[in-house]
Amino acid sequence: MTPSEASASESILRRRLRKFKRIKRGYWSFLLLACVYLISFFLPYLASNKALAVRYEDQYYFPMVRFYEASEFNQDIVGEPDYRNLREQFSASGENWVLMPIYPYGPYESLLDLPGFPPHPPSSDHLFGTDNRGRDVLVRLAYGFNISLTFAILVTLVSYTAGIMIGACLGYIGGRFDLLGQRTIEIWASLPFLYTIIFVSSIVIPVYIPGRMQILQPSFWLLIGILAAFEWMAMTYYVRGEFYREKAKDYVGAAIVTGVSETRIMFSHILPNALTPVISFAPFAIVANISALVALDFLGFGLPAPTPSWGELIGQGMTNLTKSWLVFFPLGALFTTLLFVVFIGEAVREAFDPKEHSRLR
Amino acid sequence: MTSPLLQIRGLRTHFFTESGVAKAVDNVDLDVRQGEVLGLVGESGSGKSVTALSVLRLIPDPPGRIVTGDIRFQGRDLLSVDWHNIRQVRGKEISMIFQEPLTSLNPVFTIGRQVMEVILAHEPKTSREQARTQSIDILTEVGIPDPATRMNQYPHELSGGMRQRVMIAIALVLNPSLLIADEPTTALDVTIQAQILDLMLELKARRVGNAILLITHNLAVVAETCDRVAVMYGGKIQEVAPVRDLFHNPLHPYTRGLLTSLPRVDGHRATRLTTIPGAVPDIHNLPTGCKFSTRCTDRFEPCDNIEPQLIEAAPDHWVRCHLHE
Repeated sequence: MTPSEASASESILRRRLRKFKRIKRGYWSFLLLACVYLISFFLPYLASNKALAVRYEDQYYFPMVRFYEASEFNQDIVGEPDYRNLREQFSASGENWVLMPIYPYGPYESLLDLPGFPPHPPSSDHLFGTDNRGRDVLVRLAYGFNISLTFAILVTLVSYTAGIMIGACLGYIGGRFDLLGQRTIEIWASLPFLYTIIFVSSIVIPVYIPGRMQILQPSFWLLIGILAAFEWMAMTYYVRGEFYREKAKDYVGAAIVTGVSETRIMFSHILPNALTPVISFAPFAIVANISALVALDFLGFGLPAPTPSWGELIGQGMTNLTKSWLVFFPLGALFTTLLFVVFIGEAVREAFDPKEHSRLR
Repeated sequence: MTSPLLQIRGLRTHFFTESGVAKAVDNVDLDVRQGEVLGLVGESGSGKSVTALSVLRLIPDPPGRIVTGDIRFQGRDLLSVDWHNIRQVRGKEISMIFQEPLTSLNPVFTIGRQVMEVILAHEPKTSREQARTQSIDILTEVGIPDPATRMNQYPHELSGGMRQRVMIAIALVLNPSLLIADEPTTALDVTIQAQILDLMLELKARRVGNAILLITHNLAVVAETCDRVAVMYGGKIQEVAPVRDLFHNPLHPYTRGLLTSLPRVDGHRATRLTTIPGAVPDIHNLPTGCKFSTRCTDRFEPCDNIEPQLIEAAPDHWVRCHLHE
């Protein structure tokens, strides 16, 4: 640290962020994962069987925005036009053209015109091969990445918000309220998670609404709700404990004598001081939630078909053990993603460690 | 004589614990007069801090409770106002500073934010700019160099004495009529102690009519700063007198014991330090008669059974002892 840096005022959070940036492995994992995740939101424009733009008979068409019948392009099929076929057709003439995404295969599309029976082995057109319904594995893995991470982040956010709020109230109010709350949480925590999922999914039949974004699917949110409902308890323990410790500190007493309101003391004074264990735990919660979704999809209680899902692909790999591309690529994708998130978590933990100098080695 | 700023009558604050009722404050009468510095002296567990906390209704309930009593501040009954209004009193009309300046500031916020918060909490109409100038002014007044820079610093960047100055700034920024200082210098170096006490007196001198209730167990601090002194023992006021009176003519055996156990640097040959024999009685099991009877060297027949009354033995000199009845 240079002297000028030392004299500049810096909040604890900013110092920790700076330390996080110094831990190269975690920081680069974070940057990489953040970039890939951001890019994955543009997947419909990068990997899809829909054309980005079509010029046909002096007119421009944008299939991403509007739906066109195949007959509009003089194709002899019903429903959605076959844009890849159209591109080949047009490439002969000079006037008309089709602009396809970089990887012109969609996640829901069964490629039945390939030679042989699905699953097809990897080829130059389909880098990771196809699954048992002839869908491109690479595209499904890519879409699945976005869904898994979005899902895990949302579950973490929802369960954290609930856990922090409830834990804060338990710890701050204390007394009989805390005792009752704790017992209720213990009862709730002893509900078997997997059975509850099985019950719920047998009552609420998961519906897949075609053509709708994943985040807008009701079953997606149902699953987030169920997972969050079983995860918030863990956070209350940490936050409750922190609140018990922090509320006894002098700065809280000093804030009370200045006449600040209780809610302000809870959420403005104590909460920022109580968040350290919660934040350092967050990346590992995301790891747990990705694994949870994969496990549920693997068992068939997760997101409804035909959602692109890693767990479902791993399941296919298990039933087709001889088809190595159905085993290695989904497991590899899962492993790599979890590894990077764990690297981030490790760095966050290191950066938030309050005992950086006193650690005995 | 005008009515006192703060009038405490018959205050009983008890703690209901598993090992019995602890009568931390038992029937305390105390006045803080306009413009004075009143010292509240006593050893640990004598009830000084609990008395002060009762005034601001800061007793943790459970286990503590103000059982009976009457606390009037500028004629207003503080024990019957509701929670919202007591919050208006805290920080604005009565401020308090604690023993531990090192931990009394929130480590995650800047100094400036913490000073401004008090202003904005009590006067929501103040603009942030106004609050900022007001904060810089008070920080200048408490002797913090370069306050504009300090505003953006975090507590860990300030020394203990500086932090206590900030605490005083926070306590005084809204110009309260009464400042309760609960052992404000105990955690500081001796040289800094004198600076902080001087600062408090200087600030008080500039605010005419404002009073300080100084809680301490340091008699040297009392002699330096206070106008009147109240001595507490066993949850009761044992003696109240103007500071000169108390030091030159202590009436209660406990006060005398305290004064003789002070180390002296003048004249006398090095001798063993005199102490008060015995130990403080268990708070759950105080003697029925005079609370000091278990350690008193002048004990005689009524002391064990009859509680003495607080009587005016000399003009403005009150004492609770059978010797003076």
